[in-house]
Amino acid sequence: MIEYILRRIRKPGLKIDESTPLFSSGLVDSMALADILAKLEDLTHTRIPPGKVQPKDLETVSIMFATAQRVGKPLK
Amino acid sequence: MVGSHGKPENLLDALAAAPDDSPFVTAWVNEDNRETVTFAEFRRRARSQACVLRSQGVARGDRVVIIMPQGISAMTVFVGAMMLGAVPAFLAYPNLKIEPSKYRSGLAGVTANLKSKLVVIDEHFPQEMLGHVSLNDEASVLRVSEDLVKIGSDRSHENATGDIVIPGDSVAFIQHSAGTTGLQKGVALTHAAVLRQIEHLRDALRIHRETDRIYSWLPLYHDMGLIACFMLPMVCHAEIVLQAPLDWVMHPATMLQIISQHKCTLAWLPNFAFQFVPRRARHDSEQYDLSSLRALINCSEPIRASSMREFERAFTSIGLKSGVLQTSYAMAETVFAVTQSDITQPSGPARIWADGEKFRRSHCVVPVEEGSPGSVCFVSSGRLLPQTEARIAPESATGFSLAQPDAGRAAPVQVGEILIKSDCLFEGYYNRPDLTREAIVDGWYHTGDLGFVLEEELYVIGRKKDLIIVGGENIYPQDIEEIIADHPAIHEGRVVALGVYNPDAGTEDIIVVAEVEDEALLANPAAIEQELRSRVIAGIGVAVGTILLKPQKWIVKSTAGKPARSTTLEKLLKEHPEFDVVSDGSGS
Repeated sequence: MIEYILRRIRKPGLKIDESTPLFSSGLVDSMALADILAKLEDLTHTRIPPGKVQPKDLETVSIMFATAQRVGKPLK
Repeated sequence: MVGSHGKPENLLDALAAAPDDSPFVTAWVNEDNRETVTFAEFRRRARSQACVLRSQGVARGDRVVIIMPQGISAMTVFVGAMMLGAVPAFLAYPNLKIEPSKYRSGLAGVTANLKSKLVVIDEHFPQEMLGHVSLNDEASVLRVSEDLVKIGSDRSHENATGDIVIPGDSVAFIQHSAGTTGLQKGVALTHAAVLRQIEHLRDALRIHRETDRIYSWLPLYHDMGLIACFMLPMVCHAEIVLQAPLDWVMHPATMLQIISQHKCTLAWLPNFAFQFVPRRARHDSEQYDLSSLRALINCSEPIRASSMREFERAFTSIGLKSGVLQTSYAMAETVFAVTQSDITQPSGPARIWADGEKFRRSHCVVPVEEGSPGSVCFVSSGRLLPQTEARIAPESATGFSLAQPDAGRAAPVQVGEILIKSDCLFEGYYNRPDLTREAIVDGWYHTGDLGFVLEEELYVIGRKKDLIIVGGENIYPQDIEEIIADHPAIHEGRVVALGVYNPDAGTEDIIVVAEVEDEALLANPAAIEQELRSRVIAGIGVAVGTILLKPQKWIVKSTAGKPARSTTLEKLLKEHPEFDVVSDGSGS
């Protein structure tokens, strides 16, 4: 996921880890979050029910995986 | 009640005349979760909501702010308020797409301006956000729970609204323009103005109640969502299938799924969506069928030929017909649409190619052969709706010089600010006479958009120089500049925020150019840039794409000593040609 986010936001030289704030820091905008959510669904084999996530639920890589575990529904 | 010409006098009369058993709203969440209400059921629920609102003291003329998730409940509260003669206004519900700092600022500013009697929220509305709702002494917050909805339903037999007369010239509701400052402008619209707009749209789009079905993910607090996808089907007695914006943005293929399954015929989208959907839903699209669509209208952002081409190429194979992609120019201040392209033309909206260099240097349009090297492609937003006039004001203030016609060629068409007169024009910004005076001069509304008219077609090329549009959202650069300039490393007052079109995103990127106090700082700019970016996010919730730190005196100043945006942009594009993508569509 970290590699994907780095490719997606295209900021040369930037380093992030599992606890780097993504949303509140401005590194990730809402349109990129849509892709990141889709990637999260792919990686966790879940569908994240719309309307059940807020920016704080996706603030860091570790939080977003916890979110997927909490609200994601396994893909059929 | 209908008027002497058989037309409804207000929006509620139009709703009352809808056939009981016809489906009105289908709220789509996913394959297994959707709800459809008929017009009769919608009216019943709206009356129930009116009872609840009345029990909270809401009366004629009171403003009712509705901050609820997109769906049938929010819509029935809105109409219920209108049934009491009150003035409802949708505000955005906090979600993923709206950054918290921006949301809090907007909520405080807008609710303060409206001086509402009641703020209606749902049971899940974040408690911490309530502190940012501005309430006067008589105002209250109503948290609508399922229990309260039931109470409302039990009271549905009560005659909550029977004695209330709603004159056509009374204010029906307030819709808000976009903004980043928390001072979003509330546009108060009368029933009559909204009905006139819908009549024009119905004629232009040839809407038939029996055969048309509208698809929408557009938020109800936006004019496209509120007018085109709520009021229009309500008055024309057509069906709307809607989903929440966040559901769409997370799963763009659901748009194709809904259109396919419900055989939707009409939809509106901002330009960026014409790229967003094909890039994210292409692999899922084969199973869907878009052949039911007869108009998919690009609206609310400057229209890019490349975006529409991308959508067309991606989905022709699943039934998207030639000529379905259409265009419109719309704004809250004219209720909604100013223009609409001719949907009967199988070739779609008119396009012209113009000399790119003359356009950039002189801001005039000199038509050239299609695909000429260096040409710029413009897509028409269509012709003016009836009872609408447009004027292009000379752009004298920008410093562009007028181009001279070449021998043997038609005179160039000058670009300027679009001014509008219309029978749907608003009368002013709510509680903001200062802004109203600036916006309406001698009956002409100054749109702040730049464009030109050619062969009776209106072409909108972008916002006036001081406005940036990102993903359909208006960003005022002054808001960004103020924050950047406050940083000790930045030379006071030497900051310019600019919008530059990003063809990958289909919308503008924000580029900030700032002069540093000490040139030594330029050796290691990354830390400062990140700090500036964080400050802007924290201040107004806007993500800046690029920050360019420059030595002092780099930014071009006007004679008044202020940064000159357009000239600075020209300089920027010369030094950084990677940002110069204005020749969108050239040669292809």
